[in-house]
Amino acid sequence: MSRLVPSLARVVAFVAFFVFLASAAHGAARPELRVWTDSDTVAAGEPFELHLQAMSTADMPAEPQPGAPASVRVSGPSIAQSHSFNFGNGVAVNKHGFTATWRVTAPRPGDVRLAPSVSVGGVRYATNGVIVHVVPPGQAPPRRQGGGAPNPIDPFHFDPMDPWKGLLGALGADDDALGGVEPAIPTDPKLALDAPRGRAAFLHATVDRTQAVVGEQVTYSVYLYVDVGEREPEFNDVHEATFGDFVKRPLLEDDNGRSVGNARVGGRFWVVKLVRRFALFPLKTGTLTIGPMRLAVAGPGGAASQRRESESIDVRVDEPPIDGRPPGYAVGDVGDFELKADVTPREAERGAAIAVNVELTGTGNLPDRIVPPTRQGVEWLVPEVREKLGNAGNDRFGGSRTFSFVVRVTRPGETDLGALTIPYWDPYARAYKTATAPLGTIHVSATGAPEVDAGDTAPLGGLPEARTSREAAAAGRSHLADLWFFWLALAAPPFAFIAASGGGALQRRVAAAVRARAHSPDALVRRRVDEAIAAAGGDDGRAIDAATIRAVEAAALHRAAVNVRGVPRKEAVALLETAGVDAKTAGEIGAILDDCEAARFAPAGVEAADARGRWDRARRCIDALPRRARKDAPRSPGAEPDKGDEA
Amino acid sequence: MTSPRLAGAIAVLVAALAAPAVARADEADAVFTQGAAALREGRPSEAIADLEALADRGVVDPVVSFDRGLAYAMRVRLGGEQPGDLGRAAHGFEEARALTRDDALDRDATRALAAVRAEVARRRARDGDAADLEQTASLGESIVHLVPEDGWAGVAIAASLLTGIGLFVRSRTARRRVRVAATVSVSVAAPLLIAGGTLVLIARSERAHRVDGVVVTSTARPSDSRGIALPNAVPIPEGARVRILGTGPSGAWTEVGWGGLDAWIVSTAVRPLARVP
Repeated sequence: MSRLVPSLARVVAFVAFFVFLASAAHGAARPELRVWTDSDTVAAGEPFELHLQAMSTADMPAEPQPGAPASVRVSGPSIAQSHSFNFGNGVAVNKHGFTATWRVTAPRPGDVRLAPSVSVGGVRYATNGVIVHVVPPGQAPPRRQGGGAPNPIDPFHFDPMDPWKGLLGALGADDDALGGVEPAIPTDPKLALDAPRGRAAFLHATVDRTQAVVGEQVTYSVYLYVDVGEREPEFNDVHEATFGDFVKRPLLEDDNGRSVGNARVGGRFWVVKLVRRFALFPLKTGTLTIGPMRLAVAGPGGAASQRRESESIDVRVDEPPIDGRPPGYAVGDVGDFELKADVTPREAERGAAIAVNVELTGTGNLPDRIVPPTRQGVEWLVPEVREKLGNAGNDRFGGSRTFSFVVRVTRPGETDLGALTIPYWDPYARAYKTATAPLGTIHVSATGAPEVDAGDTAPLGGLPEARTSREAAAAGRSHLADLWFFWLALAAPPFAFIAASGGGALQRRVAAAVRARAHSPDALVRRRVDEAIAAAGGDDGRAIDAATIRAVEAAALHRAAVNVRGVPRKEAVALLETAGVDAKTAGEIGAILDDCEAARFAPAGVEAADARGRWDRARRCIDALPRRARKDAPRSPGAEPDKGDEA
Repeated sequence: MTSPRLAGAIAVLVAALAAPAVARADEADAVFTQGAAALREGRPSEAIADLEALADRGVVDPVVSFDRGLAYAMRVRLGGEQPGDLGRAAHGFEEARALTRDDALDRDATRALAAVRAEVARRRARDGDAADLEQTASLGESIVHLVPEDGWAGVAIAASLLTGIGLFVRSRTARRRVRVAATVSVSVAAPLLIAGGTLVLIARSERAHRVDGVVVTSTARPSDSRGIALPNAVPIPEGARVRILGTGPSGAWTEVGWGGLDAWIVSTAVRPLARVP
């Protein structure tokens, strides 16, 4: 008997366990049911509406029954399908269902109990029902337009788990009841946008500021807009926004989100749900980017998914100002802090543990460590840190962080532990402040652990003494290479030689060129012509003729390469013609030479006017002779007319 | 009549413009005095706060750097060490050496730096890591630093003069011995001129553009530009002096050179040395 009792107890326990599991499974599959009427008091014979909302995470609810007594007339139902979703760890949890609406008419006064039910997975679930008071005709209070749940706060039947369901019912299945009148949906202007960012549903991200300092809270929110005119959007493949340059702290208790109102965007009504809200703390300066949140929106009936993503947002981050920055300020300590410290005991033996509990409270980017004041003979052990942080109200991140230090003092006597300080930047006051917690003094008795001379064992012994006066402002040292005349002096000697050598060579080449130009054939001809012109200006006919002859000979020699000097006339003409001079010019040259010779040696002398006439003829011939290239000039020294003339 | 008024207005304007600078200088002096007093009284954390505040304000002073290094070292010595204190101490001493013209301060900073690095090496050796903090410079770097920049400038100037004189003498004289001597001079001086000038240019460029820093974390793991740790690369120890070669686009990574190693490390692991403005 004594053995039987424990065995029986085990069996009972097993049975109870399985019953519990079964009931739990049953509970998990149980649909969410909600029932309401458009009025709880109606007149006899006056129709009213009965609504049943059924939502399930498992099978789709079906076969709604009004659960009305036989004494009332029921028509319908009209069905408006609904869908809700929840986000959790990147997974969308869907709920399917519908809202069924019946039109009910009670013929007689009295109370009518209506208990609609629905079938899910072959199991029928009934509601507790509603009771409608039916009064004689003419005694019922006026009813609200549009029908719906009698909730004075939420006339559009918002359900935190299914915020747009009621609106779907109102605009979809209840069109008949509305009589084609557009409902007056309250909208929040703050949620309005210029245009929808997608069809059916879209994400919209905002920040409370686009300029901040390192460590200042930037509140980031993502809203999901769902078009109330669309049916059953499904959300999946959720990708969180990226915050690479920020520390992210959640401000919502979970990722399920919550309805925040309605908006009218692009001429359509949208239910707006806040799905994410974070306190972001910038880690560095610059333009920091918050990446978009993404998800896929699938239409009803397995329609193809469409990607939706929120905006990518840039935040300009700077450091708090340098001016007025207190010593010890660490960039990133931004918020509103308060420090409290508790030291126990105040009297201890040498080497005994003393507890120092420091509580840092406030909002913002609370520092995760506190540097204790270092003193000779005071040893601070690594603190234990506890924190209680979250949404401290008004979407400001904060709370408390507690540091539990253990301190050992190895020197007897009164020891001032100093004070703990945390300088911080208050972004709202736009000023630096300092949270301070004085630790006070403690008395350490000489009893206890023996005093240890840290000087023998501590590292970094023999450090030099500190300096107490600053060095004169260190000006930039000047270097030779920074002076332009250094480079000039560096280049001067070799370049001076190069310049000198090159200058001499250039001078020689120029002189040679000038000389060569002075003895060129053209130069000689020009010189002879100039002499003849000069002679023609005088009254000496013989001189004019002599100059004319020399000019003609020089021109023939250097332009036609024919030396006509001392050559008989006919032969000279032939040579000129052979050299390419036209016959007329060649003949004229021969005639001029003959005339000049004859006149020079005429006993009666030479009239200057005649000589000038011959010079004019000669000049025309000279001009008619073609100019020759320098290389065609005669090379023979014997052909040089100057020498002959001068001889 | 207007001249005195104008002069007065100008004086007031100048005073108004100069007042903030004077106030800042006074404030910096006060903060330094406060920090030095905290250091003398054995309150290194307070001294660090004050001296770091000066660095934040752009005060470049070898004594401030030296005292800051001492404050970090003292905090280590008194048992209040925070991660990176040894590296920051080394940074302060390195900066003081780079900035000072005071030989005594230079000697003290060098001595303190050696003590800090010895402590780092001791800890690394205790942990079984390589204890070398100094890396040998490359051959080119060694040649450039063989003599000071102005020394190379003097060599280049002398070589230039010798080259010029040799060329002139060689071109003007007909005496064989003199020509030979001039030719030899030019043959030696001309390459020296080119080498000296090049080294001056390199030294000047390095002076103008090179930025050194000190590792201020317990270790810095060398990585590639994507932030992936280099295989078989020795971590750069705390307190090591590195060349800062550049910073990545995000600013999170810094390219450094340490001996023959060129790698990327987290930017917060290295603190640049201040330079004379």
